[in-house]
Amino acid sequence: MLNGMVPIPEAVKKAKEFVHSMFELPADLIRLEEIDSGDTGGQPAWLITLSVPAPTTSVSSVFATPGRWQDRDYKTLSLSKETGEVLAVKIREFAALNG
Amino acid sequence: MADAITLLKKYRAKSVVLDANLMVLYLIGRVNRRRIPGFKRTQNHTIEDFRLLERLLDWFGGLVSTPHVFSQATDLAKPYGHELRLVRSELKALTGSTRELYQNSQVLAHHPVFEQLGLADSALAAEADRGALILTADINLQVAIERRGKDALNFNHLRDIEFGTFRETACL
Repeated sequence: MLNGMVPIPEAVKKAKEFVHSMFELPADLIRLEEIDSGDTGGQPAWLITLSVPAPTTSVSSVFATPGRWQDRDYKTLSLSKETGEVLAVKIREFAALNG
Repeated sequence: MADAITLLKKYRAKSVVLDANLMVLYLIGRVNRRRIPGFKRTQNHTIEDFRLLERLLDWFGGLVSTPHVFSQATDLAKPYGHELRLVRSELKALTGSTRELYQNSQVLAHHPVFEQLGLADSALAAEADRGALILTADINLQVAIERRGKDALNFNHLRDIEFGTFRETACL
């Protein structure tokens, strides 16, 4: 453990375990998308974005193109760097592009 | 979206374009890999990530970049003390071994991702439009490129496999 911090691989594992138990999703479908550092409630935090398969809600979503990027939902978890505790969970959305 | 392994196979020995943050990881790692966890711009990475990046560059067989990425990396990779000179020396060597592509800022400012992501990422998205593979740890850039039906490899997907937290057959 570097300077008392939860190592990144361990933080990713904890984030995945949280999503697995909270959303009842198979662990091997949860994918790491981004790791950032930040501050949550005054605590240094790992900001770990994970993606999970999006539920199919309409026929049109099946045919959505290009790139099928719509296939996954994104969630950013904030974990304490000191304890690994999950401090917050947010839905991650992406802005629409022009053109 | 093509998965990471498919993109690795598709672009083997065809070069890759790094984003600025991964170029900073490469530069800091080349100078002193033990600096990676403590340096502000690489603190979200590990020494193992640097080793993975080196293996990826070997796999793709070459680096392509843009002046915007080099400029960003120069500004971001500024460790204190004598390591700054060493980083600049590594960057200088990298410019000598990298194929550099350029498009006018006036053109890039009209790219669809410009308003959201800025000039440097517009340059990367424009290279993806021309058939290059972009390697990035920035999900905003990766998603923006994929929405355009182009190829971007998320470095974190490969880290996920390396951490043992995602099940996929690695082929590096």
